[in-house]
Amino acid sequence: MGKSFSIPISRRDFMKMAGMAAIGVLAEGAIGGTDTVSAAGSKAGTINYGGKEIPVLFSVDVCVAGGGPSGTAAAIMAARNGAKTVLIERGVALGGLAVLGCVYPFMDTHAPDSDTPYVAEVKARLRQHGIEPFDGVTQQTWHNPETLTLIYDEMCSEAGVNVLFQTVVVDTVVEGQKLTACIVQTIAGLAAIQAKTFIDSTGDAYLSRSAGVPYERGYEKTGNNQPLSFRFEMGGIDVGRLYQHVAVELQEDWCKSKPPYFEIAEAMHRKQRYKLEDLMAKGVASGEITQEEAEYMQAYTIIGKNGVMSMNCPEIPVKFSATDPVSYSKAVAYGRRMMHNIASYLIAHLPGFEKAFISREAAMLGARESWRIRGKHYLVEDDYHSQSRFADAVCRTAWFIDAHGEKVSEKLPKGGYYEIPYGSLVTEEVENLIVAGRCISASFILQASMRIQPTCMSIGEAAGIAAAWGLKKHIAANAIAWDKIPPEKRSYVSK
Amino acid sequence: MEKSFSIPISRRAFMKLVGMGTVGVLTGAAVHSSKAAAAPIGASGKGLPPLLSADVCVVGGGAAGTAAAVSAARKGAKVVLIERGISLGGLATQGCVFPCMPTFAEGSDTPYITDLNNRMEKQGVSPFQDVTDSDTFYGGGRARYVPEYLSLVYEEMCAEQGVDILYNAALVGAQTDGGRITACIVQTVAGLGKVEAKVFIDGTGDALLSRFVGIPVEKGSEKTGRNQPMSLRFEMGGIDMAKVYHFFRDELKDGWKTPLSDRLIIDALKDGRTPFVEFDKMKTTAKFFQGGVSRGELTKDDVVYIQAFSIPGKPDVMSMNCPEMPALEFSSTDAVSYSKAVSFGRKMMRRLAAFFIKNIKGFEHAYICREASMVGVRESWRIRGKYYMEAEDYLKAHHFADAVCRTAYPIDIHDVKLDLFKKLKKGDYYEIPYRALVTNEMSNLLVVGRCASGSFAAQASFRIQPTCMSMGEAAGIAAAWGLSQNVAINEIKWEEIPESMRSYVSK
Repeated sequence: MGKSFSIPISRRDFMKMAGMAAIGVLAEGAIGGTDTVSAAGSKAGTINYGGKEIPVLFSVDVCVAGGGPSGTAAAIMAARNGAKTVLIERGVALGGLAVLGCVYPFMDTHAPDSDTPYVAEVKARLRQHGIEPFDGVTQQTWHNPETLTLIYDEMCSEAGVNVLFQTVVVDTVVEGQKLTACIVQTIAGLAAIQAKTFIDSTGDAYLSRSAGVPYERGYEKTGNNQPLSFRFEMGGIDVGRLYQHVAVELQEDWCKSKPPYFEIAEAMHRKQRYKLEDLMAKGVASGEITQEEAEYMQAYTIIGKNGVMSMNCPEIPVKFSATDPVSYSKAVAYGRRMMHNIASYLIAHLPGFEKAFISREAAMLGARESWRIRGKHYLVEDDYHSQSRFADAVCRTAWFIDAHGEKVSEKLPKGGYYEIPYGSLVTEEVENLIVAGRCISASFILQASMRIQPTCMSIGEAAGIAAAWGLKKHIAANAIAWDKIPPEKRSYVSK
Repeated sequence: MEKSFSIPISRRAFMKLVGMGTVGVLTGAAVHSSKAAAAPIGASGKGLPPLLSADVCVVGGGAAGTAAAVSAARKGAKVVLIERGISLGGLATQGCVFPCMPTFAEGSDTPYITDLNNRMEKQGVSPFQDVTDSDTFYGGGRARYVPEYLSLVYEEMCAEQGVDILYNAALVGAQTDGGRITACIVQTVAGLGKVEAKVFIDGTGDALLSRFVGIPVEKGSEKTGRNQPMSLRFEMGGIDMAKVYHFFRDELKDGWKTPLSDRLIIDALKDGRTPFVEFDKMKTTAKFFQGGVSRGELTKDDVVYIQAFSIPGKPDVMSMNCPEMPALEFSSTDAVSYSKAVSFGRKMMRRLAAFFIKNIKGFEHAYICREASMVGVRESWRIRGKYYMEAEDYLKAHHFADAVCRTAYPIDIHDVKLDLFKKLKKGDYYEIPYRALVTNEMSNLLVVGRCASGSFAAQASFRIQPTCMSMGEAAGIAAAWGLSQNVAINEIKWEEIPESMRSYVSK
């Protein structure tokens, strides 16, 4: 334990404080709970943290921090491969940006045969629930957030994953090169979760940063993170009328599919010219919306929610930062104002939106990029252009470099793709840590391609398989050679 | 120390530690923290400059906390409001708890509530549209706040007063010095950060700040040890409101509507407005919902409590005041149990939605359009403060010189209906004393909302949103007053604050 206190000096102060604080949390009043579903069964005693005993809520094989696309995949796959697994989620639903952030649909990897078994299974389960994710034309995954989160609950339950909702990662305990516990804030107070292997799928590399893994954030040239979005849904839309106006009257051919799979878009910063730019430009001229609000507007129908569209906007200006807590907070209020302005403008001027209303705000901001670790392998822009392949690849993608406001690349030639190596999921510093999702080891520009949800799911899937494999074979997570795992056990095998 | 600096990139971590931020982030005209960025993760406390400093730090942006922050700022205090999610309103916005219950006490609306109602009216989403008086529905607090506008209006109120809102920040600790709180520690996107203030207001609902600083707390019923049951609320869209109304009135003969509310619904439908439609599991409709149980579409747990309300401004949407997760099985004060309740509740929600779609006319094309992003917790932890509210205060309609608000909402325990708690007769009400918001242990702490000082039964009455707002409002005023007069917060005599400055004056 001594070593874990040796990192930043002020950690000691937090520990002292936390220890003292724990008194209040642990010394519950005279009335004891008689909870029939309690932690008692899984309690593994206490650990000394900051001079005080705090409860160990779980002591397991694999602890996954973050229940988004990658973390949920990682937890399910680790559990299916025999690991006793805990999944820590900050909110009360699994799915992360797809569910809490209204980020819909899943973008297309543009790579042939990129669906790993887990991704294919999620799509199959959507179909079982009556949601057909295939629009017949594109490879976007049209889902339904409320169904997706239910499916994730089901998959976790079947695999025996212990999901800990409403729980925030606070700190880590590192001994030598090993992460031995993470400290979490639950509704009841501070607690520890011990595990043999940890998976950081926080999106913000939170666990990794806490454990001393080197990291980067933002674009090297400007220091800016990718812009945040504050997505929302609108109900009461006459999609038939909207289709008639946009696809027929305006002759916009952007959306290749037809209702119920329908999309409208305009993005003034793109080379492509969209028909709806005129509408938004008029709003700027009349003073009803700002240039920032007009810059980017996109909306998708949601399968199973007739008359509801998922709004891929507002995009909050890059002067707000995804990595600064005060700036991030200001972005929320700024974004909410933009949201209401865009909604009001569409209601007033876009045929089909006459009776529309905001039906739901996202419960988390859409962070495209925040922190990225520097792991054993560092992916860079050239890996995209030269379509790099790796023996230890965990998945493939060809989503273009989509760095809003900084750089938008050409698509790769049809059939082209690059791969993501297992080496970019693990670090030199912490042997029992795997990183999954948008915060893996990659440059700002490359991350702008690998950050999309299906790719994050495939990365998480591999992380879960690797975590369980390593534990079974007594190989440290950062020493695993993915290519040495038997192909039939792997979710992806590089050709 | 050596270890952390032996890795090449940690120079950045060091720079942040000394408050310099990374190179990239300091360039350009970015909107960043005025002071230092948050700490590197794992670091906090004395070695760090504070992330934010203020006169008053309010933790929790729900009904009570937002009122406290806005009211303190209106009285001149510099305020930081810490919110775990990304919207203000707490259960009303994130928890889908709609509408506000009535206080059943005339004159209970304090100025903050009146102001909020006016602001919602100005947004074009009147909180009172089609709200009627009846013998069973009267008094203050009966507002219907559209969640998506409430979060916007709260932000505007904060912005006008210069309240700094720190979103996506979870309270994880606090620092004290003697009998005072000096700082609270929050987990932000960047890591742990410290917020310093002179006065702290605990609006967490779970008495989290109070528990961190050692205030004595209670949880659950004194008799059973159980908390009140939790809900996981949701909204459904695609509903034909007229058909639903006629189904319950004409086919099920629920007998719930008064002639006046009937007329308002018919008028609204004629005008193309959203009528205010509600349905409930009650004596007249119990058979209908029980039918779902006998057919295997619902479980017994699912039908314990069923209620739905239409939402003004969201024409085909209803807010579902269910499912209620069984109190016998799940606890709002146990982290693991709470987590299991979420998944259990989600399954209940899906069964209820499927039952509605299949069996209620008007729901043929309905769908779940939104799940709550926080669990509906009625009761978790309550502090033991200077005054401890008890059922007696309700039953005997106690008044106090230092009262901060009034209410007559019944002792509403969802777990076990305890008949001994009779409803107050119309016109009677009790008051909540300022002393129920302060503690003996910490001189600069106020506790507002559902976790104020009271027994399980007393809290079952004062827990409703308008009462929480009024408590928060008074706390904000008192915090600013105490600072301006140099009086310890837990020594303030509310009744000695000039009447013109108080939000509520006991008669």
